[in-house]
Amino acid sequence: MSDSDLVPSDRDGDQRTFGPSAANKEALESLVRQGYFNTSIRAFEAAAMLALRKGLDPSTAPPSTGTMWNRGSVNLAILEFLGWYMPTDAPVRLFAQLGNAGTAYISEKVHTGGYDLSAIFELPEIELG
Amino acid sequence: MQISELELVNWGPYYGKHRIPLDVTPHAPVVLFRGENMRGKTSLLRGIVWALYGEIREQDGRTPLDVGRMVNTDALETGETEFGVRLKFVHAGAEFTLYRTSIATEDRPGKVTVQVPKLDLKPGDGLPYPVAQIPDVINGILSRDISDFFLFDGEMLSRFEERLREERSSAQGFVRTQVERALGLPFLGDLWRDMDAVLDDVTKSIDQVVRKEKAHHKDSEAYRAKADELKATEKNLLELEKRERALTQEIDEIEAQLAKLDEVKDAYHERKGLQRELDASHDTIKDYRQSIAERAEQQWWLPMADKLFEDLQDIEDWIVAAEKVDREQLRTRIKIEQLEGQLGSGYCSACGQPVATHNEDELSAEIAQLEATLQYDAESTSLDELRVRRDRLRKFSTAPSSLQWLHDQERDLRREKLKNDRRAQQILHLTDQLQGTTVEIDALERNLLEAKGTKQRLASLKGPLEIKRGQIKAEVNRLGVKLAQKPEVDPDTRRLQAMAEEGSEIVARSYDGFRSAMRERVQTATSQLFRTLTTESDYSGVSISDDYRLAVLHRDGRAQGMISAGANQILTMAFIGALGECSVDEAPMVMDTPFGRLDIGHRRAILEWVGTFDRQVILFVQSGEYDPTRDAAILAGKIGREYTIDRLSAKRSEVNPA
Repeated sequence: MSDSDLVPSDRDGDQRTFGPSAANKEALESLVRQGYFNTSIRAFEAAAMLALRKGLDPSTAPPSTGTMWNRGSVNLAILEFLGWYMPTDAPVRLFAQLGNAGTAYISEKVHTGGYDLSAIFELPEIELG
Repeated sequence: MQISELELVNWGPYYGKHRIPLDVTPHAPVVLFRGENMRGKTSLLRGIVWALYGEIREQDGRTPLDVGRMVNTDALETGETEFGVRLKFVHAGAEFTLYRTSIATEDRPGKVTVQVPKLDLKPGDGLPYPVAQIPDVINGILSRDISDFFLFDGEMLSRFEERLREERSSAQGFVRTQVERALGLPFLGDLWRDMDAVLDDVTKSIDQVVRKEKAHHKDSEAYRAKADELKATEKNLLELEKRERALTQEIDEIEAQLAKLDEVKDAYHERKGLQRELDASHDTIKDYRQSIAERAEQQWWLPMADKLFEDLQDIEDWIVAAEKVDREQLRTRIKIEQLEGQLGSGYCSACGQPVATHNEDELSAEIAQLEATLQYDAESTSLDELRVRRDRLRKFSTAPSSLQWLHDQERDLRREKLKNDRRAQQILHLTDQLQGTTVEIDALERNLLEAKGTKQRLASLKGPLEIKRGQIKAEVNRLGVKLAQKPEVDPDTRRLQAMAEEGSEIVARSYDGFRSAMRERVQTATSQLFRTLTTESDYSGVSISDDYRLAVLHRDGRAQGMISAGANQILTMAFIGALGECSVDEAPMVMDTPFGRLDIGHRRAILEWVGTFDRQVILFVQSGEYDPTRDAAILAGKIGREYTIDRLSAKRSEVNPA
């Protein structure tokens, strides 16, 4: 079984399209404006990963206020990853929820400005060896 | 020439009359004036220059300085309107007294009007010279043209240094002009031109005579055509020289204006440099950001990198534990098989002894216990599943180094931003300091560059035109000689023509020969002096090539392309010293704060050089460049007179014997 087999098809009832909440949309655009990412979807992906690391509850994520992306917009590797890591049968739905939860988590820092990427995403340094 | 006394009346900071004896002996020829800045050292030098030539310049050396600014303001306020300088000097064994004086009035505060100065020059035992002759007499003793080889200050040294550092053709032109000034070649050039004019007049007269005879019409026509061509070429050449002079003046004026802006000029260039650094740094910051953004997008898992790395480590630990369990299970199964064998056969499989009945119960209990262990272990995740998960997580094994890279990049980025903040602050500070003068500097520097470029282009046109003029002139002279041979020309006129022709040729040959000989003399003197003054053992001397390129020589004989700023200062000093040495038999060397920018080694070398003089040297120094306890020994008894310049008030100083 390859990793791509883990991504459920539309028949599995996963979402086809998704988007950020209104407040999150502004935060994502701000991240792009400040030069941390080239597009909002890449910022949203990073936020989803942060939510996963922080153990944020996806169900508490602010709801999407409209469609902005479809599943093809997302890096396929992320959907595959969620498929085996969580695991889940609806990776796009989970991704959308995680992305919104993560974006809400960082939005205050993004609006304040002046933080490094590592400070926004609370990335530690790991001792090698 | 030796200055024996300087008398100042209401001059500079010297209120009232100040008489300063300066006469010295060849054994102790140094007159030392010690005084801090703003005490009146430069006023003493200006006093000597004004007495001799009736004009003085600002510290930039170019801008004329209104003598009204040298009148003591306390004197003006107390109604003492007379001011002036009296100079007593000895030249060629005769004593002279030169007195230049004037009346100044203050029309309104700061606005001083000076009447035309009175001038008086009297030989010790004779009648005063007619006023109209005095400038010529003074020029004959120490020509104004070469006086700055003897009467100079640190600013003049800086100007020479700058000129010697200019691009090649400009520096060569400067060296040539200085050498020719020192040798009085402009006078010889004038003589050459005068002889040519005489020859020209005579030949024209001959032409008029010959034109009356139709038989010689052809020669006469050829002569006149060539003479016209020569005239046109000379006109072009004169026009070029005129434009060149105008450009030189323009360059001098721009440089003088830039010199006045010197203080802010440094700030301007510093700001320009900082701005360049700031712009470059913005690009660097942009690159850092872009590189971080690209990495964050490629490594989408970066925000959970530490978690993934922990997961990987955990799972590897679990696998090790699971493999251990696996091995234990195998051992347990083998044990169960053995126990079950014993129970079935009634014999111990290890020793072959019959198993006692009461032991069968114990064996059954042991088997049950071992099977329970197997049952418990079977509930944990299978090793295969763990291995699959581990292989997936291994994709993220670079997580620590990726995080480290990100932190390193961000640290560098922060450092760069911090530097930029400092740069921006400095720029703001410098902008305050500049207060709108930058536009002026920009425009002046642009104009200077343009004027220098045009001058260089003119110089390149002048060379071929001079050659052409020489060729046409030779042809005109040849035709003139031919015309002079015609029978109808008066023999006296013919002789006069031959004489003028010969005279012109002799002067021309002398001009070239003299210039070449004297270039070598200046070269020898500069080289000798440079060796005395330099502290660099790798330098063996100085050369001045045929095309007047002044270069420091390495001891292997090669000309040094680049020399340090310190070496250039010493080269400048040696060049000026040599020009002075070669130009007149004897004149005092008057130096105002000449050591300011020299290091201790070179300062010492120059003092040692001064100590070798037997002619008069007048030195104006401040405490930063001359320390009596340290430096007096270097002059080793050569100090004939020593004075201090003491401040009495903001507007008054006085000179006292030290």
